[in-house]
Amino acid sequence: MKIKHLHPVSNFKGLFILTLFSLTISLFIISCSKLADDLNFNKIAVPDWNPEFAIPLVNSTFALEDFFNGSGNLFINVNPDNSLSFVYSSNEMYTKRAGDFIQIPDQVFGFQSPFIVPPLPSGSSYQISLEFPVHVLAGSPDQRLDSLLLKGGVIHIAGQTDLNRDVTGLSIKIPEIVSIATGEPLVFDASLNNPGGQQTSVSYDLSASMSNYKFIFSNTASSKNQLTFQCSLLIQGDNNPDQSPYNFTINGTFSDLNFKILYGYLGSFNVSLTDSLPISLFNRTIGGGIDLGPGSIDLFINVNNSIGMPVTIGAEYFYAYSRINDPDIVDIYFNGAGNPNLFTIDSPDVTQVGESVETHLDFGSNNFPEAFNIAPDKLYYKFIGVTNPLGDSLIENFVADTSRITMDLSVNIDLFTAISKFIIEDTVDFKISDMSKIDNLLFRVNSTNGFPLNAGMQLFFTDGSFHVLDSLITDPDQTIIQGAPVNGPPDYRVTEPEHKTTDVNFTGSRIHNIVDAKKMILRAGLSTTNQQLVKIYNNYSLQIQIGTIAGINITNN
Amino acid sequence: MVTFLLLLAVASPLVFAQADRSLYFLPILPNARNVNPAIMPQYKFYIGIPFLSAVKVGIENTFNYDDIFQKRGDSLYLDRDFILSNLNDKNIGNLNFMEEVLSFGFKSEQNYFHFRIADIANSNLTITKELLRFALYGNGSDYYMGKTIDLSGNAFNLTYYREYSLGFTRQIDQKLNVGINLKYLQGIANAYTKNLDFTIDTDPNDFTISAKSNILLHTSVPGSDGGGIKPLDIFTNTGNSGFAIDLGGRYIIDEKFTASASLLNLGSIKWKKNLTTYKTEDPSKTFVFNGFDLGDFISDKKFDKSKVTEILDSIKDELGVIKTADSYRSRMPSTLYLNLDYNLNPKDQFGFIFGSQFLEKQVWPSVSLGYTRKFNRDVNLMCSYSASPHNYFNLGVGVAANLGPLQFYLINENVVAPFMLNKASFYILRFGFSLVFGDRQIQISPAVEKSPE
Repeated sequence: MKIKHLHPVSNFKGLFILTLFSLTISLFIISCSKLADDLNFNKIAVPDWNPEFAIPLVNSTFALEDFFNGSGNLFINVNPDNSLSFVYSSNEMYTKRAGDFIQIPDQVFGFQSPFIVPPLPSGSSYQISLEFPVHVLAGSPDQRLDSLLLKGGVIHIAGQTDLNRDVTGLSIKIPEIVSIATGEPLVFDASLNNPGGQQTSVSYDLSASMSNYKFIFSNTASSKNQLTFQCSLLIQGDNNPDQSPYNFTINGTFSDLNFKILYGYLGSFNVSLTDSLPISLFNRTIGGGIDLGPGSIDLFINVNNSIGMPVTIGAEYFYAYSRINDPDIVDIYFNGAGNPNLFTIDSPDVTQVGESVETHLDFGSNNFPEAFNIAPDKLYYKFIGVTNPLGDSLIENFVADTSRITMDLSVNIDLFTAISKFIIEDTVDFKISDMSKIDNLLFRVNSTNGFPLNAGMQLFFTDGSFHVLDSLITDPDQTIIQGAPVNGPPDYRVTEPEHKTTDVNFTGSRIHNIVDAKKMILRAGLSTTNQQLVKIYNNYSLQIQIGTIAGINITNN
Repeated sequence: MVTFLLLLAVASPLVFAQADRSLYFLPILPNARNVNPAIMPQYKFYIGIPFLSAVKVGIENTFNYDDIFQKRGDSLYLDRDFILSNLNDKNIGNLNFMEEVLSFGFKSEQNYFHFRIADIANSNLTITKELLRFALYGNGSDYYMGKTIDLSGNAFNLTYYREYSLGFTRQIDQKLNVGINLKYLQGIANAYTKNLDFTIDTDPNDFTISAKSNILLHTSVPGSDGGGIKPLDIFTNTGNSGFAIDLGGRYIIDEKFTASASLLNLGSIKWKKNLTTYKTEDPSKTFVFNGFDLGDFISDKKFDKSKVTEILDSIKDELGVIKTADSYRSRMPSTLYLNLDYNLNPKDQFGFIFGSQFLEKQVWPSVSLGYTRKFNRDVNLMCSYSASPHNYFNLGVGVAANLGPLQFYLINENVVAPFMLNKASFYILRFGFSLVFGDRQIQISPAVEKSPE
């Protein structure tokens, strides 16, 4: 390929072209610089308009139980007519076990008895029987022990004799102590051999576990809790000299006796049951109370008793406490005003050893409505159970070591009430991110209320020291949720849900007021429709729809 | 928010420009083959300066800066009614960028061979006035509350690809040239909406939103697998390939008139790598959102943040927009040029061009009139007038000159724009440097052939 060199352009034309090129580029750069200056967004004036975006935020339907989720001791009961009741149940209280409040003290006993042995030629034998009564000391003087099944304990017997016979056998039998497994009485055997009579005395030392043995005591008008130790010496004849009278001693202990079951008359003991019952209905109350309809509160007490003794239970104290109202305490009488809070519970009989007997008590004649007027957030109570309250020592008691009384109570509140001004409050931590993009906010609250309850609500925004910085609603008495109308007695039922729309405006300046808020306090004043008596039914619900229109501040990125 | 609005109102419509058309009016440029492969350069050999042989930035949209901002004193004012009054129902914008990495060509007898590698980025965007009104007023405004907001008709197609072009021009006889460019296209990144339609209704009582969507959005973006975009991923991204063809013809009618026609960029890219597809599963389904159930966020009387993602995911599911990875094909924006040149004398030439670009859902026609002054065989000056449906008055100027073997050119398709960028909605700047060797007698234009030095 032949390459032809081009003619060079003249200097003038080249200069013209370069000038044209340079001028165009320069003007372009200058113009771009001017546009960049015009595009300085800091120069954009605040417009008199904002784009407004509408967003539905919340659409929730609440049934009654949704408001009380997490109240662990609350059960909402549906009655046969579909009305609702709050049932607050206590924890189960229980007394000490009988093995802890009835104890058999360690026993110590000792006897000695002389005896004479007739001449005994070699090859003959002679038996001597000795009896020693042992009285077991019980926990209290008035106790009468009929029998005792043991799960632990030790009997220890030791003694000596100066008998100088080559061969002597000792047998100690306690007929009242028998093996639970075999029915055989407890027998100890020992040797008292003294070959050639060389020793001045011969001793013995015996012990046995009392586990799974049964004591069957002899009781008479003059003697209680008696056991008999039957000692038998079988002496073989020999040529040793007769040194009668001889002496025989026996010393013993019962230690660490733990009973499995104890029969007899066991006397009077006091056992206590103490607890408190939170009433979550009033957890967030800061004022007011509620008026309950007549007969709308029952106190139920359920007792399980496995102590085989008559028991009477009385309340040492039983009161409602309010942290916000004065008076802050109302004593509760569940047997009618002025009557002691006392009741008797059933006990198992001897055919029900190891079983519990239930007692259900319904105390409808109480003054709970008075107590609930102070919006109590807790009930405090202490019950004392007294065994054998009549002191009749002729009756037969029994206890197992595990025997005790357990008790729980529940307060059944029929939601049949009239509320005039019941104020609740809740505080939550509050932190809101930068809201500089928001120029104004409109919250629209649509409530469709199937409950006969009005709610006037307010939101306070406070700093960390709870100083109020701003509030959401300018009219604190504004009813945001309108209660549904109710028909008359006896049903007091909502005739139709009530719908209400409420708009709450939040302007830019007020938005800025809450940016620094650290806490948000929700305060709501509740009242029943027209402050009349209403009943709450199972099919009631509250639908809340909250939508917002946010005006966007376009001059702030 | 301002950024968002400005992006919508200004930046977005500043999109792709179709016009390489002024290359027709600078006949000494070998680059003229880019608008018609039948054009036979007048040099036996040329090679572009790597990365500088052709650089083009083009913008073309349907409104300008002054349509958005009102300047009063030292402040800028945004008046939404003013903005909307300046908008068309559909606002279209194009932006493109092209840089030749390597190009050369040579003649052998009646044949001319050409090769080039170029990086090309195109973006086409259509924004409806309704979408902008929605952004400026909001669904909570009195204007929209209770009415159906129809946000259909919006679209975008953003493509970045590398073109490997092999060209051939054949002089059939003294009057007729034909040419062809065969292009292998290496797709690097793309975002492409087949459908991007929404309708929104807002209940005026409780602000419940009812929405329907018909979305089919394809993307192929390096690093979308979560590893992030690395430069090497872009240059070695060979998983998306395509082919295109340019066809051209040029016919000398007589000494005065020459006619030419070209059809450029007929082809497509098949995107198969780094894919993400968002599509509406059932466009007939209406999504209704009337707020969150607070109970879904509360557990143990505390707000459970972990539920938020779960709930938002469920809303996305409700919308019926699913995410898949479907391969797809995107058509290249092809262009038709029809050109008629009139040679007044050996130094003065007038030209007329009708151009039409065919985009996915639109046709973008334009006409240009050009005048070329040939000072000698080494210098061309040109000026042009172009009009398109939304830009009726665009004056362009251009110069191409040889300084020894070094050839450079500069084309400004809107001479007013550099001085009044605030009123410009159309602008193309193109320049380049090449080395040219072996000037041959131009045979397609006898008048030029005889022009004295």
